[in-house]
Formats: sequence, structure tokens, C-alpha cells
Amino acid sequence: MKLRLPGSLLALLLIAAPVSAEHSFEVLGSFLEPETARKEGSRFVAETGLEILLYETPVGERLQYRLLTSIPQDPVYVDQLEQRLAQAGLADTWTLRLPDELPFMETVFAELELVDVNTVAFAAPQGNYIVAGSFREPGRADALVERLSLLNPVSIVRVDVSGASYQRVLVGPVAADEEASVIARLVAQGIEGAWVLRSSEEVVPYVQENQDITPELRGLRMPGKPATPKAPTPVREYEGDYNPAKLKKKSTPFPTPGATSKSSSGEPGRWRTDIAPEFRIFNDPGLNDLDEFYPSVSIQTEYYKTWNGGSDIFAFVPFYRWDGQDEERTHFDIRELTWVHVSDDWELRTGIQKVFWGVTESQHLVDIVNQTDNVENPDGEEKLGQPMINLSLIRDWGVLDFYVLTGFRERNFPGEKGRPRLPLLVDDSEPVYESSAEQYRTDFAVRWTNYFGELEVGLSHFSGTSREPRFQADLRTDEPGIPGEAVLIPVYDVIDQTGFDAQYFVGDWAWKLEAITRSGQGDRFSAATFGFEKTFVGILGTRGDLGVVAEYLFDDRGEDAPVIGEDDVALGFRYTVNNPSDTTALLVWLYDVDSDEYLMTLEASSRIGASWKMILEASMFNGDPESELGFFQDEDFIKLEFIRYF
Amino acid sequence: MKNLLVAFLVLLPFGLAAETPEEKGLAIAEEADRRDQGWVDMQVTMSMILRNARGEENHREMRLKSLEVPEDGDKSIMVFDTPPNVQGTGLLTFSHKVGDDDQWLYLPALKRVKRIASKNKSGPFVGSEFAFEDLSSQEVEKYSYKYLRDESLNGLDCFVSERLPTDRYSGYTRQITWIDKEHYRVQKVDYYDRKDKLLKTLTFNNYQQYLGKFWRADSMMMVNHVNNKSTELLWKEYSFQTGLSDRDFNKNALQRTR
Repeated sequence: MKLRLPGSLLALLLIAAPVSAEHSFEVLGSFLEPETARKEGSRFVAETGLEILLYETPVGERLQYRLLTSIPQDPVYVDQLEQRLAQAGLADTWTLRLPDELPFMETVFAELELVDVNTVAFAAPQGNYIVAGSFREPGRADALVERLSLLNPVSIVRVDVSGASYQRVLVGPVAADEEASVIARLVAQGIEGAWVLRSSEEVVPYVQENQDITPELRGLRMPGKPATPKAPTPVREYEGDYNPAKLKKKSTPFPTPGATSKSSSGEPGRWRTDIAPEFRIFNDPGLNDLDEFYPSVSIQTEYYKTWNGGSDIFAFVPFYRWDGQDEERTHFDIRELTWVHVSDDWELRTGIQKVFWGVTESQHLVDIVNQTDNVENPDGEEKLGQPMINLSLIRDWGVLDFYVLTGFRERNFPGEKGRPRLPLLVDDSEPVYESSAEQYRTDFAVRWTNYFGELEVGLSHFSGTSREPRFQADLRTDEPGIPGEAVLIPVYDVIDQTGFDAQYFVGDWAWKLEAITRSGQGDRFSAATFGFEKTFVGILGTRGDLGVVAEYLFDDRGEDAPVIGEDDVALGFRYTVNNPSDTTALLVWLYDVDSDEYLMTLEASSRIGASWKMILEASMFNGDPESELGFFQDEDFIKLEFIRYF
Repeated sequence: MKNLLVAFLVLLPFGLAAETPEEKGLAIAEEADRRDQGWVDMQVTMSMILRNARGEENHREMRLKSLEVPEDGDKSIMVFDTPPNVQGTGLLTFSHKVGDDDQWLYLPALKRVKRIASKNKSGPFVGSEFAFEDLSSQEVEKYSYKYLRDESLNGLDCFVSERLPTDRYSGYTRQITWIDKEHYRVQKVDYYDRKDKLLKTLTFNNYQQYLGKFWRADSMMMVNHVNNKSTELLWKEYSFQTGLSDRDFNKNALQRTR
């Protein structure tokens, strides 16, 4: 077996050809006119594949333009140099030594249109590369890569010569007996002057990692297709040897389909927009004698861009909803405006974003970072964007996230005409804060997650303003002396909440637990959700999957708890049809063990054509009309939403 | 001891005397596996074309990144680009030679990463004729083998073997594989359902060689004989050894890829 590392190193030396301390050059020719020298130099570059420099020097009273090539220190390469010169018919060359301080020299490039060479194919033990062109400007090398429509892989390598760098477009590796045909194909495409980069050793196209080469320029491309960033292919004999450390390079970004990356600033940004009209129909005017028909429309756009080979990400997601009835539901939010920087074992996310914590389905006790977008959907699944700085450490012992939450988002509430809503209006114009900093308080959170085989665990702590308010009853008076309307004022306490969540698989059963303990909002209390999820694949001989979720919701504040799940059972059925339209239906039944009240919700969705999706939602409450939640009887509704993706 | 025996068998040329059909079947699978080692990492885009019995088509596009993990199964991330209702949905898989794979699903609308039961492997993958298990990393250890016969398929001399899934949660009793003798590439697989009835046939078309060693089919066609539906996978823009590492295959990476 061959020693691979020395082979690579030799190739590196060959291609990078550092100028020796002695500064010896072979003079290939001397000219009186600079243009003649450049023209001849271009021809020499094409013929020899050597780096050729134009050196302007006074000889007697005139300026002479000399074409030089640097002489390698290693005698092996000196032999090769001589061989190349001889093959190009350059016989009368002589050696020139220059002082330590090198004068300015111009690098001569092959002018493709000037070159007309019969390149000799060399019998090398490994495949050789065909140099299709060499350029100083990155754009030109890029352009040539785009032009090439060969089956062979094409790569760009950067070569440094006497401090000047330029880029070679390489085709190959090409077997010795195919070189002539590849060159012929290049000529057929109008690319003349290609030459064979040859060596007696393996040639590894060496791309300097720390140079300002864009990921695209590192890449191999299959021409004729969108540019896909890839790393150059080392030419090796793959004999099952494997050494990731040696091949470890900076990661390249995921190729984005349809993207033709050109700029050095990474992948071009990408926009995605969806517009969704929706209609809600209520079964009854309800306690507040409101309308039954609620039309609305929302628009959300996503801008997403990566650069530095995917190590930096920018995302911007604005959201707007217009509601035909409820002016409080007409609202704008920045769901995401974030810059993410990714390193090997940490990630820094700065800006507005959304994070999700937890494992259960019926409610999300542990999930506390983002405020609920309550007017969007009373089910609590929609969230408002939260400004934050989030450092994520990815280590062997798990992922540890630190959050600095810069500022507080108030919960929004339906307005006077909003539905469904509480019998009393929530007046969120002047909420009460425990913190004197009010909504400008900086909150903190930390979360650790890890998994051990089939066990997934998370432990988290949050210290800050509660996302969930208490309410104070108050009278809203527009004019002094006139009895006002009773309203609810949100009160935001400063709380500490510790949460634990776990999920464990036993066969195809997923057992789930979320538990929290919270202080700061009255007495310390605890709450938990636990249960299982099991999926029946191919139920009743169909292609569909039926997922069954059963969870118990507990809160030790009992009936005083300002939440639905204080002693409740949730039963959910998710049917996935497994058809091309991605049709699914989710039926959830939430039953209060103490009061016998229950809430039933249905959500079904299906894609229509390539760019529409239809969502049907229904909500039905059954309880004692005399009870605290009795008003909710008349808030049953059906919602139909059509999402159009652009 | 068993490992020693296996290693010994692999070193022997095939067809040597005293080799049972089971030993030969395993040796073929191991040779195919050995020939596909060393690709390090891979990125590719995939078009999935779903066709129903009436020939109506439905398209999905996704991107796949994989990392070779020596001594264990591969790691992979698959992200959907189209259709738009599933755009950004991701699937992270740590496959294992022994034991269950670990799988996480990313739901972009909720920003939620959900660990899913890899036991549900027999279900259809996004409405296609491929089951999750058909697309998972085909580790040697996931089956037991039996060589059946030599047979010519499309002009290629092939080994025909039977393989039985070792996991009882598999949707199949057995699979019959055609592997060509020259390059040890899977050419065709017949899948038999739990009632041992021929359910599906997968054929691999237009194999291309990458890096002078690794063979990948441009097209994989799965035909369901029961419902006459088919799913074709078209693989495009393969690239290997792109410098991916573990940091590209964790839950954080799953969340940021969209």
C-alpha cells in the first residue's frame, strides 16, 4: 500500500510551487516590446503549464522584458521543469538569480484565443488533470466552469505564484488515453489551449482553505446544472481506507435547488410567502350577542439566507392578519428576525425568534419562552416572536441553551367583537407588572436536553415575567362619575419556573411526561401532563396510520387553577391518510373529570393541487350552562382556511 | 467466533466448497457493503414522483445529507423543499447496525423537534410506495441472508439471494435481492408482505460511478403490485466528501436547515 500523505504533500508542493529563498529563475526569452513578451508568455503558459512571470529590467540604455519561471528547489521538479521546457521546444534558456528583495513581476496568463497547441498526452500512472484555463479574476474561472459541459467533474483550484494568485479550471482526473479526446471536446466548445497538468505522482487539487475563496470556487461542478458547492475531489485509490480527520474540511452549505450561486456572499436569499383567507362561523350570537360570521386573512413571508458555507444564517418572518370583525385580532408580528451563527460545538442565535420546549401534545407546560398569540388561535399553539440572545452549547453530555430574553411580549386578547372570548372584556391597555421595568425587564432561561437510547430528557428553568397573566377585575370608566363597564386587567407577576420533560419508547409506545413547579404567582404550585402516544401503522388494512394520544393533565391548585387542565383527561386521534395530498385529521377530546365538561376539537387538512392547502377546524364545548365556563357553550365554531403558497 | 468465521469467509473467493447458502448470502451482502465503504459524506437532491394507477403524478423534492459512521449505521438529514405545505420539514436519522434507529422529525411551523418511534418503519413514507424501512440505511446486520441462485438480469450476471428482516416490526417476511456479480450493486428487490405475498418490486436504473468507486443509481422505481401505484426516486447532484461532520447531524442542525 502506498503512503498517502507524502503523495499529497508532494502534489501540494508541485502545484503551489513556493519560490525558494534563493530566487532562481529560468529565463525563457527576452523581448524589447512588452506586448510581444506578453503574447509569447501566454503561449508559453499554455504550452508548458508553468507559471510565467514578466520581468521588466534595464539592459544598457533600454528596457528589456524577460519571461521567467521560478526554479523549484527539489531536483525532482527541476527535472520535470526541464522536461516541460524541452517538450515545448524552449531550448535556449538560462538561469537568472535575483536578490532577496524581489522586484515587481507581472504574472502572465494564458490567453485562450491566442493559444494553439498540440498538447502531448503523457502516460502517467494516475489520471491527469486537463487545465482548461487559468485566470486572475474569480469571475472568469467561474464563467468558464459554467461553459463546460463535459461529463468529467470540473474544479477550480487556486495557485499562488510569487505572491500573486490565480485560479485554474481543472477537468478530470482523466485517464491518460482519454486526455486527447477531452481536449478535443474542449476545442469543440471553443476552448482552446487546454493543457495537461501532469506529474509522476498523484495529483491532488489543492485548495487553500484559509484564503478568501468562496465556497462555490472550492466546488466541483457538473456543468450545465445549477452550481452546487462541493469540495474538490482528492484523487486517490479508494481501497476501503477511511480517515475522516484527513478529509475534514469546512462544511459546505446544503445546495439550494434552483439557486445559481455567483456572489461571494453565499447562497442567494430566498423568499417564501403564503396568503391565507379564513372564515369562521359560530353557532350562536353567544352571551355578548355578537356576529356569527368572521372572515379574515393572513399573510406571512419568510426570507432566508445563508452565507459562510452555511455557518451564518439570517431569517426574517413578518406576519400580518386582518380580521373583518375584531380589530384586536387585526395585528402584525415579527415572528422571526434572527441571525444564527453556527460553530462546531456552539451556536449563537440573536434576534427575534420562536423556541419550543417539551414533548406532550394536549398542553405545553414546559414551553415558556414565547408569548402565546392568543387572538390568532385560542388553542395556544400560535406564538409571538420573542427578542433574545440564545447561546447553544452542543456537547457530549447534551445540548445546553442559555437565553437572555430582552423584553417582554404582552399577551393579546380579543376585542369587544372578538370571538371566542370571556364574558368580561380583557382590557390590555394598561396591564399591571410586578417588575418596575414593566415590559422592558430582561428575563433569563436555561435548558438542557439529552437522550440516552430510547430516553429523551429535558430540564429547564425560567426566571422572569410570567407569560401567563392573572386577572384583576376593574371598572372601566370613560367619564368620571359614570359607572363603567366591568373589565379584566392582566397582571404579570415575576415568576421562577422549573420544568422537566421526558419521553421514553417502549416498542412503538412513546411515554411522555412534562412537569413544572412555579413560584411567584401566589403560592408555589406544580402541574404535570403525562401519557402516551402510539401509532397503529396501516390500520384496518389501509395505507393510513392512526396515532392515539392519551394524556392526563394535573394542576395542584385544583379548581382555582386559571387553566383548563387541572384534573382532565385528553384523548386524541390523529389519522394520517398517507396519500399524495398529505391529508390528516386530528380529533381531540378534553374531559374534565370533576365537572364532566368536555371540549372537542377537530382539525383536518389536505393539500389541493400543488400550492393550496385547506384546513377545516371545529370546536365544540359541552358543559353545565350554570357553571363558570357555561358561556363557552355558545362559542362553538367551524373554521375553514385556505392557504395559498407562493 | 462467529465474527472470525465471517471474516474468513469474506476473504475466501466465492463458490469455494463447504459454503452453505446462508454463508454465501451473507458473504455477498458483506462484500457489497465493503465496496461501498469510504464515501465519508454525501449530499444529494431527490425528486419523488408518485404515480397512481391512472398514471396521475404528484411530485416531491427533498435534499439529503448523509455521514458515514464507521462501526455503526449512517447519520442522515432529509429536508423537504416541495410541496410547500411540507417545506422545511426535516427528518434526522441515526441508524444503528444493532438495535433501533433514532429518529427525530422537525415541524417548522411549531419549531418543534419530535422524537418519533422508529418501530413504525413499515408505514408509507410521505404517501409514497416506499416504506420508511425501504429508505433507511441498509446495514448488513438488519437481515439474515440466504443465497438462492445465479441469474441473468438485463444482461448482468447476478447473485439472487433471500434476506429476512431481523426486526419483528418490519412490514416484510422476506425480500429477494438481485446483486450484480461485477460491481455488487443491488439491481432489484422483491418485497413480500407479512402474508408472504409479493407486494412490491424495486428496480435500480442507470448506475453511475462516483469518485471512481461508489455506485449510485440515478433512478429507483418502486412498483406496488397490489394497488398498481408506483413511486420513482430521481437522484440528482450527488456530491461526496463535502466536509460534513457531526455538527451537521444533530437536532440543532435539523432546526436550522430549511
